[in-house]
Amino acid sequence: MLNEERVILMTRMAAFEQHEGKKNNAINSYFRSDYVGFQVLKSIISATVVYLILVAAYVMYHFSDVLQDIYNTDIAATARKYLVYYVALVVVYSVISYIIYSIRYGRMRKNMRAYYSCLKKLGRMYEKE
Amino acid sequence: MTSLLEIREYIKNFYVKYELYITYVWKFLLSLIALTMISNKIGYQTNLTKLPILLMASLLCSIMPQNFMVLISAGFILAHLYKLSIFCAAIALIIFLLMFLLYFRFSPKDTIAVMLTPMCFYFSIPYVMPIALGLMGTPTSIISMSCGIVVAFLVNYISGSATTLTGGQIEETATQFQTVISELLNNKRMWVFIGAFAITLAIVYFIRRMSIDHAWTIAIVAGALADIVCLLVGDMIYSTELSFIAVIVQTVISILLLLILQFFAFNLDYSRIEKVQFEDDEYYYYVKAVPKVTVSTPAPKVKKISGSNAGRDYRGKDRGE
Repeated sequence: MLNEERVILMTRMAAFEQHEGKKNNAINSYFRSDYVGFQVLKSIISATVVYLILVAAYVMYHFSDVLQDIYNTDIAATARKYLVYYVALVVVYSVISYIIYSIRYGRMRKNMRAYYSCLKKLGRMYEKE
Repeated sequence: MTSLLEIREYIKNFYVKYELYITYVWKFLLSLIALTMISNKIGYQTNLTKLPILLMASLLCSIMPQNFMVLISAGFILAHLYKLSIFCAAIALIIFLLMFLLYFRFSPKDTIAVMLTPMCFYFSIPYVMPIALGLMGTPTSIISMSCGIVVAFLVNYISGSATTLTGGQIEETATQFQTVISELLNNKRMWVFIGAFAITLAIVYFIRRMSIDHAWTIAIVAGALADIVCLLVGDMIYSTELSFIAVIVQTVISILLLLILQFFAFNLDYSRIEKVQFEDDEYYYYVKAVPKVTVSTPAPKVKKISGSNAGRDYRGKDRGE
């Protein structure tokens, strides 16, 4: 005999698993600090790539000025300027991704808790039979 | 009106029944339209403009996830621009990379807006985009919409000045890079569009979220008006030479399209049809769960009647104390 209530519960859980579950399970296998740290590291890498692209575009755009800069001004000051921009970009981007991924981790924990409570309910249903 | 509702009911049932195939078909059609548009606008790589190639690419898009469509379109744009001049391709590549690295890491669901916005520009109904995204999405869609506007203006600019951009010499191409970037960044019309659309999207979103009757309709109309006003103000400040009759006519067409969208999309979340399979000790289950259509009723309003007795304490009176 089909237990309708159980089918409904299982359907809900399966649907959750299909959408959120896979993603959440991947997140769930990390500690909070590990997950967020890993994502921030990824952000730092992509910010670095973005910075390199922007510098390349800037050099292309102001090609002659940059050439003159190299001969005229001292390299150290220019390098420091570029470094400051780089650090600023990385810091801003990392902070943003830290906030976003912390929120995501919290939300995932909440979802998983609801999922586990459904699982317990299902277990109780089986016990009853 | 009742026949309209019947039609809607019929379409809904049809959709529920054939949801899987309809998804394939619309993905196929959307990518075919997008790729055809790209070929029409900047089809320099003549091999890629052939119909069998387009059909094959669209077929691939129809079975792949949604974001694949955006990726394929970006690839086609780059391939075409590479044929025209390597520097144009480089600029497009820079813009795409910045978008993907900076923003779409966070919200990969939004990517489709980047593709739809240039398409709406091409069909000269761009005013659909901010209102539709405000109705269906979140304020963060502003970023992906703005990216879409940039792409639309880039493609438009390149296709408009293709003859001047096909220089052979290296020095010429280096200056090309400068011209394209400065033309793009100094394009006041683009910035006016970005600003106006961002404001419109925010307004539509906030009105849509209000718990008032006809929130969607009010949001559409208010959004359209805000859009026109913002474009008008932007046009006056920066003299972007927008044709206002065209703006108004296109906005009216957009409103009509959006009303159709509202008719079908309002309160009907078809995307949540679930197809799942699981098993227990006795059975295998193949379940298709269709969500019930719930009509949202406005929350009951509590009206406080404060007469002369407003200050008195009635606690316990009901209980007869």
